Amino acid sequence: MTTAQQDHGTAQAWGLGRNDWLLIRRDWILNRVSILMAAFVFATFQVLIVQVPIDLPYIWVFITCMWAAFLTLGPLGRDEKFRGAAWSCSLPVSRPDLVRARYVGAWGLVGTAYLLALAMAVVVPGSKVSVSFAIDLDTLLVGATIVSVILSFLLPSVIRFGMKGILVLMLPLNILLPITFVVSKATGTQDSLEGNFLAGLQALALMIAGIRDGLSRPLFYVVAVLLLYAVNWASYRLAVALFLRREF
Amino acid sequence: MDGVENVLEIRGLCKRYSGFALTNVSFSVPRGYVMGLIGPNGAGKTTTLKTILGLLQPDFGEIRTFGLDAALHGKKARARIGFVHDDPRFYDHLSLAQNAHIVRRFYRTWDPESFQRLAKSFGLPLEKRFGTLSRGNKTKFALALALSHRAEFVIMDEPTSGLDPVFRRDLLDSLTDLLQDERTSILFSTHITSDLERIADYITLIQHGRVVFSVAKDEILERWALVKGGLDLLDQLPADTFRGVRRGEHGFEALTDDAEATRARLGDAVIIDRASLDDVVLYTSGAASADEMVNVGASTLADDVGAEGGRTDA
Repeated sequence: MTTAQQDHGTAQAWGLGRNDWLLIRRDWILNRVSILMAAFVFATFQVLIVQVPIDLPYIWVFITCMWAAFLTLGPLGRDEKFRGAAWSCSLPVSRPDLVRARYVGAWGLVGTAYLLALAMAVVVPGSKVSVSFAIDLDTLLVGATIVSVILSFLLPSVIRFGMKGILVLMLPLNILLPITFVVSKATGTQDSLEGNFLAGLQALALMIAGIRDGLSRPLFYVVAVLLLYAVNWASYRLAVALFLRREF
Repeated sequence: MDGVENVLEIRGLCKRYSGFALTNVSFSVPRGYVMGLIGPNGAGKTTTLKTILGLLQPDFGEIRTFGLDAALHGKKARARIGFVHDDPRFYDHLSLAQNAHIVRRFYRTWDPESFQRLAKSFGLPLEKRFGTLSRGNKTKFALALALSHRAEFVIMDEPTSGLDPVFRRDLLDSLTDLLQDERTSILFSTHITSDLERIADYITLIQHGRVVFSVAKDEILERWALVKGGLDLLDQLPADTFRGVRRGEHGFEALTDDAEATRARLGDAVIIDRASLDDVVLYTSGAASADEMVNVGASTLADDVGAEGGRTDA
């Protein structure tokens, strides 16, 4: 069997295109040391956090998934350090191929990180995170939502602008939030702003719970997954459109 | 070049930056030949090559590689193209063998024996990390990769810069061997024109983002010449007689693009010498100081062979 046939077979086994497989494989070879180091730090953190009594179990989901999502930026940052994007675009792959591989690789990393967190929850003595909670559909849905929100915002910007793409996103927030705070304080509306924000979050949670109760459970999960898929798909299309404009 | 299959066709390429613009760049590279792309630093050579590969998006114009629109079929085209960047970039922390291991999987036509042979011939230490190599060795490695997947079209951006003369000669010999199959074409950008005088079949000169000419090398060497004579003669001639003039204290040296006509017109009053590609680049760029050189006829440069029609960018 030739190497090309092997690659094709492996790609098919994972449900990927050949170029997707080659690009993800390349990213793994380039970043395996840093990924393994990050995994070690992540696992160590999990050993600590699963033992902490948490009043709201979804806090563990939030922290774990947020950390896992930001792990995906590591390979992107290293690629930029080596100015690999220009070289990548010289290969016989299209720019949509490159972007898709980033998204697939990011979700693969996140999924692996979650499995690692789950493993820690199982093996660490005195773990306060139960396996049944960690693999519950509601928990997985919340986690997928957190990851989707982070990745769908960050990835298009980072793929287009490199690591300074994080600044492109964070800078407006870092300007907008303080201004909002100052204005609300000056106008005496700070308490109601904070109250409204929390009330808004509660209302959102109630709304989702209401929809879940209104629909049948299976239908709710299907709708939720489709929505998340749509958000990620839109993010991917935006990333492709931005990356097509990138020049080297 | 008409009637010969072209691996590359560029028509009316325009790309604008702040302070620089490629304007109406047009030329073709026929299959099985070497095209040299020359011009001084900042002329637009690298910009042209990058638009061919899709690293830059042109503002206007058409690029076809192997008859396919490069914008729509870039992936297919790049599978048949070997490219050497002016500053080869691979992964510094990986060895040459590891870098090659990554690259080879992307090319279905990769020839491992060819890579091993080239690595040995170039003296590449495959176990060393890429980041520890000299500039010359980095270029050699990039070349070995570019030549190892049986590319039909090899594009090289200043590949011999930083290489020692011995290796430059060996490289040029390797490229000549590559051309024996009459199937491989090479586009070679450089400002070391002596390399092109050895192997190029065609030359395209770019100045200030415009194509001055794109013709067979032999035609340049036959038609273009250096003309030397007295200042009193120069003062009698129309301003647009020569492509570039250099005034000395007692005489002038000028470049003509029609040696035969100049000889017939001026006869024994001047000495006519063969012009090298260096001379052509030097005189057409007006690179010397204003006191020494007058670049005349600049507005007629775009009328030369190879600059075809196309809307200029707004």
